[in-house]
Amino acid sequence: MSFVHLHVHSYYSFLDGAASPAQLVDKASHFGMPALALTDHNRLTGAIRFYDCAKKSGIKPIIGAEVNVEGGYHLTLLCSDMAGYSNLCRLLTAMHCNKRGGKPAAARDLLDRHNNGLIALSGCRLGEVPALLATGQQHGAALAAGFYREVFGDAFFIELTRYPAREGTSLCHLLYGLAREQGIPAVATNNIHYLAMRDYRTRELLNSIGHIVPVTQLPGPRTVEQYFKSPDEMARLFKGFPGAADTSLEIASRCNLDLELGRPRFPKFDLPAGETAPGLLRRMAYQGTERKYGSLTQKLTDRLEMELATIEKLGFCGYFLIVWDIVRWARERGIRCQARGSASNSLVVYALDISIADPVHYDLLFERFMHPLRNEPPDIDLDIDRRRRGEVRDYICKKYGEDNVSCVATINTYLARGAIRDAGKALQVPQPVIEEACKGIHWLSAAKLMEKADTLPELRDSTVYKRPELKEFFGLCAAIDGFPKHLSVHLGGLLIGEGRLSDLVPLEPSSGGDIISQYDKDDIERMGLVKMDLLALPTITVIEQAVRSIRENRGLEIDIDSIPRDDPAVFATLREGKTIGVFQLESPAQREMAGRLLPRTFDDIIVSLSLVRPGPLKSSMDKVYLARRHGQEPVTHLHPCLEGALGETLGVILYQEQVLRVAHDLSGLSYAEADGFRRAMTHDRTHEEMEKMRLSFINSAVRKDVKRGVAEEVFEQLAAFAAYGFCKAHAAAYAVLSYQTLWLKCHYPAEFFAAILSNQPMGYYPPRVLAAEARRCGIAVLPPDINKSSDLYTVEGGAIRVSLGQMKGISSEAVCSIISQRSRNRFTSLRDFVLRVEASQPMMENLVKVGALDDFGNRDEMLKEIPGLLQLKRRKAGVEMDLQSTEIAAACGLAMGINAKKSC
Amino acid sequence: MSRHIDEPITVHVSQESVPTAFIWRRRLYRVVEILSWWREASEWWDGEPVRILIRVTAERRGVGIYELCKSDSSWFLHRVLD
Repeated sequence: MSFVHLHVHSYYSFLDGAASPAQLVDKASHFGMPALALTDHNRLTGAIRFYDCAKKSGIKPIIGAEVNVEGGYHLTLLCSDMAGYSNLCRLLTAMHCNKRGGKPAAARDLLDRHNNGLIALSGCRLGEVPALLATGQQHGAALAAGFYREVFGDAFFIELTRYPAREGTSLCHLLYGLAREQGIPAVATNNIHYLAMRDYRTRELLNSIGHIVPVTQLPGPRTVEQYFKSPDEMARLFKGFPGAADTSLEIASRCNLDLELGRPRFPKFDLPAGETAPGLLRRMAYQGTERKYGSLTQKLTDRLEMELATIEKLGFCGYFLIVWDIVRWARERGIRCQARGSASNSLVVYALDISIADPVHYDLLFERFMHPLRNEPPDIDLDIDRRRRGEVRDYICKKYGEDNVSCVATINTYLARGAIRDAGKALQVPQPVIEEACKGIHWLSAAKLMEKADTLPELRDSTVYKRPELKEFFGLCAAIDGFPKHLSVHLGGLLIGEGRLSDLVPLEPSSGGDIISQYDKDDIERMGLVKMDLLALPTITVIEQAVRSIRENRGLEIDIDSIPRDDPAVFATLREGKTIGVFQLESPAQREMAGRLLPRTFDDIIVSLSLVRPGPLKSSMDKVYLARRHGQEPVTHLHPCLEGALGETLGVILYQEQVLRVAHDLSGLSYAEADGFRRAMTHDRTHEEMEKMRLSFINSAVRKDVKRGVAEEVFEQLAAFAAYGFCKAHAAAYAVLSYQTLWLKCHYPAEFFAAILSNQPMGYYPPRVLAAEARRCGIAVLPPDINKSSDLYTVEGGAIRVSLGQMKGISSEAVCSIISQRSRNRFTSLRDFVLRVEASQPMMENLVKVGALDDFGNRDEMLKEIPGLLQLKRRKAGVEMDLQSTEIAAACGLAMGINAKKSC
Repeated sequence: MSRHIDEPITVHVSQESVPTAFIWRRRLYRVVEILSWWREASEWWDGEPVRILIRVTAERRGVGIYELCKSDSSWFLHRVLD
């Protein structure tokens, strides 16, 4: 007996499903089912994971959704092919984007427009046909069935679910009767919401969280039957309904969707006439390299050729041109931006001015970024001036079309705290218990909570986890651990489609109004779509503002990207640990490291950024490195051939790029294979997989005449390192920003601190610490002044003037009003200020309290005067309004008179 | 009409776990026919397990309709239907 479940919810039904797609696929595989559908509510968020998982298990994935249709009814839709998938994406997008409050719903005409390639099942008890039948409206049900048959033709089926209950299963019989009467085939489903029967508790808990009601007050009928039933159970259940179970197989055979995951679906880059993408990229890469290095050496040419060949072979030329175009556009408008992450390993990226770290000088490995064996699109993340990210985004939308661009979603999932809070409310656990249980578990997963309760110092003293009456509660919290909670906007991800995005990806508006994909970044990558990460980095804004301020205050034009990187004053400041406010070097750990490392070169900054990380510090790698650096310990290598790879870090593995080199040099792997090895070691893997990798590495090394013991030891070091390795290219790119901010702090501290204070919150320290540091650097911090302060911190005669925007409770509109009024005439008194500025009484009082109006008198007296002045202002405004009204009335009267005369 | 009973009973089951007879108030009732069965969601937040209910016709001096309930490993006579 075989059967295919066609109505299945995973936990991507967001608080209405209690199984992951992988668990569902495993279960189907266990029962030997040939196919399985996933039909989450109004979204495809779990579809790609499900598709991948099912394919790997040799099960045919059927992608679909249970959609809401007008009238609040449900309808189960399945994609039979790519046309159906595209239609489902368009339908879901339209439903979400056109909704006016409440749940998204498909209007009938929308179903009619997007029916091609879709198979429709009449739905659960909330489907239009069953709901009408259940309320005795046989005629209405027949009409509804007729409508769906008209829209979907022979791809419409009556869905039978059968949950034995005290009241019997009469609805199932009524539906079956209607199906026979109308000649519509009927199909058995189980509307699965959880894996095993006992999981109905988890589903009910999720439902009550979703409905924001205690679990005891959940509305609607309850059942324990929506679990993953075996083919035999389904056959027994539908014994009295001939053909209903078999129809599931027939429908499954009609669903043959091939998503072609991984096939690049890049937008087309507008090329000049007669130009090809590889040709243009090659030309610009060569021009850029020559510009940056002065001349093209053989080494540079070889590297360019190798990179260009890989980029072309993988079909990513267009992608590089798209990123180049975005950066070019931004730079032309004075918007600072630069690549972060592994992209800086590429000479092509550097030559195109996308990255600022020289990959040849810093000996960076292209294969850490991309290589022919890595079947994924490259990822070039851009850091952008925070204030102007929107402009870049608007440019992308304009260039590629609003319909072709969207934000990327992030799936917010439950960790321990969220699970305890939400489950606690649903189960009416007393609030003090919830609060105690939530203490000190900011990062912990709920599944590990009980396991860690006895070992973690912050949890050891709490008795709440050991209370027997709460065991069940914590068990349920663990059960929903990692479950998706809601979708939100990915911080920087922007998706660019090769055509209209909603043909491939369902979209919806976020709570903030941005259009987001229903897929997260991993699924987007699997779909082969281009995702650009435009990350707003406040440090870039600080650098930009400081440079501008230096220009305005001192008339000096500074090219911050060309400053010498061997300034002794900069390194002296760094060695003294005076780095508060400096990007990535300001934390106490970094300042302490500076005292131990005694950096003298730019490369030392790269080392420092890579050393002060949890991994190296926990494994005392920093101590080994520092001892060797200061000659207290000899520099040794496990094998002479590792000297090339680890020489720069004195025999210590510090960078991810070094893993590639070590694997290459010791065991003869190509760099591409070595990167595969590195990536495999950084992901979760089974003991067997690890052992296989170990043997392969050691045997290869032995074949190169390396002693087995040495190969084993190197492998152990690589395996241990994999957990905390840092990408050198990323460190190099960020070291540039660290150096630039440190340089600004050394030479132009007033402008630097004014900029950094203007961009709070950012960095490690609060404004008061930064202000104290500015004073320590000899910079006076002047109080706010309504005639001198701006919306940002400004430099005034070598001192910093506190901004008006810093005042507690002040609105940006009020600051605008002050600056705009002041630009006409300076404020001359409190009365003048109150009468001219649009700000609330508390805002004005706060300005007086902080001394922004000290030029006009005593603070206490001014505070007493404000209410009276505001009354006077209102009276004056009233008189003006009356005058205006009179004028309007007179004008209208005149006009009426004229009209009246005309009409006469 | 039905009477709510909820009293513990002893149930004899076949090899296939189908009730064949039950003892209620020291009297034996022989199950003639299984009419229907279903499972009910419980108040699990109070620690109650899922209940399986089986509606049967059973005979002692006369034939009656009874609802047997299995909760965990215990059996109860849930209702008697007149």
